[in-house]
Amino acid sequence: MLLVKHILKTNKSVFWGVTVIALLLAASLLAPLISPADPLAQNLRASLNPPDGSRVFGTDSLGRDVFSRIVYGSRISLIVGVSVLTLTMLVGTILGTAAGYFGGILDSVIMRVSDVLMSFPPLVLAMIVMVFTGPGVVNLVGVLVIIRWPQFARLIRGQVISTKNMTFVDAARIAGTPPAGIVLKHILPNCFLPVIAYATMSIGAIIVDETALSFLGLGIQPPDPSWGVMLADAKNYISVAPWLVVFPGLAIMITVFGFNLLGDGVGYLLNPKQNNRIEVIHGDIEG
Amino acid sequence: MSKFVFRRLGLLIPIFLGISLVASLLFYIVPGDIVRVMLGQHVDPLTYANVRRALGLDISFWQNFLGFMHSIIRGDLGYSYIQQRPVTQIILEALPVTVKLTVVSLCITVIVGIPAGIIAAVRDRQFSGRLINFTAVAGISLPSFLLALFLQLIFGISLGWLPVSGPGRGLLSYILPGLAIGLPLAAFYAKVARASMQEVLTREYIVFALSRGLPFSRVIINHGLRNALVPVLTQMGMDFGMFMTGAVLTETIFNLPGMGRLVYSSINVRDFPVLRGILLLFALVVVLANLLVDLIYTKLDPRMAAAIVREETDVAGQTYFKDK
Repeated sequence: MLLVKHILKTNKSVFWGVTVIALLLAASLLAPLISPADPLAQNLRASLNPPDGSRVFGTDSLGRDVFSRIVYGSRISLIVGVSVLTLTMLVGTILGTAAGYFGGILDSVIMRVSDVLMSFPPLVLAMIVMVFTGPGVVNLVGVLVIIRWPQFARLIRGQVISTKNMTFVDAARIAGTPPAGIVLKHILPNCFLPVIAYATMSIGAIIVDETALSFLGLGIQPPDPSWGVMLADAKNYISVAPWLVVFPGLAIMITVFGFNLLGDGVGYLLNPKQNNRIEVIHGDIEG
Repeated sequence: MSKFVFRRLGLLIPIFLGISLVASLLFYIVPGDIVRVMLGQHVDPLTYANVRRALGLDISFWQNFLGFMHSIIRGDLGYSYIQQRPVTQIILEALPVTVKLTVVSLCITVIVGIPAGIIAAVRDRQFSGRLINFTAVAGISLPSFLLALFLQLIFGISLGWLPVSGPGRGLLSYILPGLAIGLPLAAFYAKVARASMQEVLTREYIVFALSRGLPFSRVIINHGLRNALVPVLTQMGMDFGMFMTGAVLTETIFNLPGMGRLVYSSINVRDFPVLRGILLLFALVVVLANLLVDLIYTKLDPRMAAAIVREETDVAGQTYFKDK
């Protein structure tokens, strides 16, 4: 606890990252209490109203309250972000560990599959798969895991390979620890440190991916209040109702910024000497 | 060196085979009857049979695939039944738009990103350095499509300075989309350049050059920059493909009829022949871009020429200097 306090005090990136994420969590947990209106309730007589006292972020083309939709949208972003990250880490860790620990044919097969997946432009791959599977949250999560696991598996594989020949692993092996025990108790715990900063920044990138696909109409479907869906609708009214673009846009930007700041700060904490290490996280799947 | 170039180009053959195979499979694994998906449910039987034959769906997958391979050799990428035109023609029309957009955004990325990263590295402890680093993290967090909408709003609609839709006004039409793609990438490259420059600044040859009494700026530019640019170039080689087909959202938002919008529309209307052609072109661009980057490496660092020709590298040109 003391350590956490110290980190929050001395590392501004971590402090602001944690603050943004805490606000986001609060918004999504307390959405029914915070939002003044039902995010799906239409009121065509009040369509495209600019922000004012009662509707702080204005209303959209169907008269829905933009503020309420943004608050509820944080739920979708967080659910997609966390579930994609969890599944990616699970798939990536299993395949990456298998490839790195056992090597041989298994390694080649897993690496070649990941080569093929990485040779497609991620957004195009995601779009093609979404067209086949149809839209929806579950399919969206699946697609995002498909385009993300190869990078993760590679990271884990590299760590496993460099760890598995260390002396303490040899010692465990000589002591008669079964392979499962070696992997779970000795190798993996020593692989996860570099993964943490990467994982934190990945959430931001995953949220961007979700909004991008929803923006194209291939992810979350209207009327669900995903930030990407809101932007897709807002694009048609950009000249008459700029607030429809500005507020969901700021929501995306601040959220991703929060996760990236935390990732940046965590990377610095884990490796202060090499804080200038290149963080190979490309924000979004688009150029 | 020419032997190396030829061998690298030879890599195209398996990549082309793989991508053609996957893309041709699309015709067969798409749920439902692809001809009905393309032409609608109420198509007359004759048209149905004709299109089916034209897509090669009346013969086996392998016959279809070999037929396609044969036509690729003749430079024929097939025929789009949605647009009623050869795929090659459709792609050649879209390509110039994307090439222009790529050039503009690459220029913005390089002109903004690299100097910012170098300054941030040199002034690491000063306010300006920290400001640049903070701005870079913020810039990475700003997705291109969002920046595209914001730029449209500010410079297109509020101020009315620049066109927001279509390629009609020459280079002016490419400024906003170029900024939308280029600035977030500039932020990313600033981080890459900063990290790499900071590393270089700790090297002995920099300390030596400084202790010889050379002016600081000259040491940075002549000794530092040359070495710091290597990782930046590596990243650029990997990203180049993304530049070419990755601008799906930006091109859609700015209504530019380039490759990105073509990808989007051909996925939407299930125009698989066009999609297959684009994926092949994409593979070609990625391999050529990596080759180009390798050739530039050899100019930046003569030691690399030897390493590259000896092929101490993987396809992406990654492992030149494992540990210097």
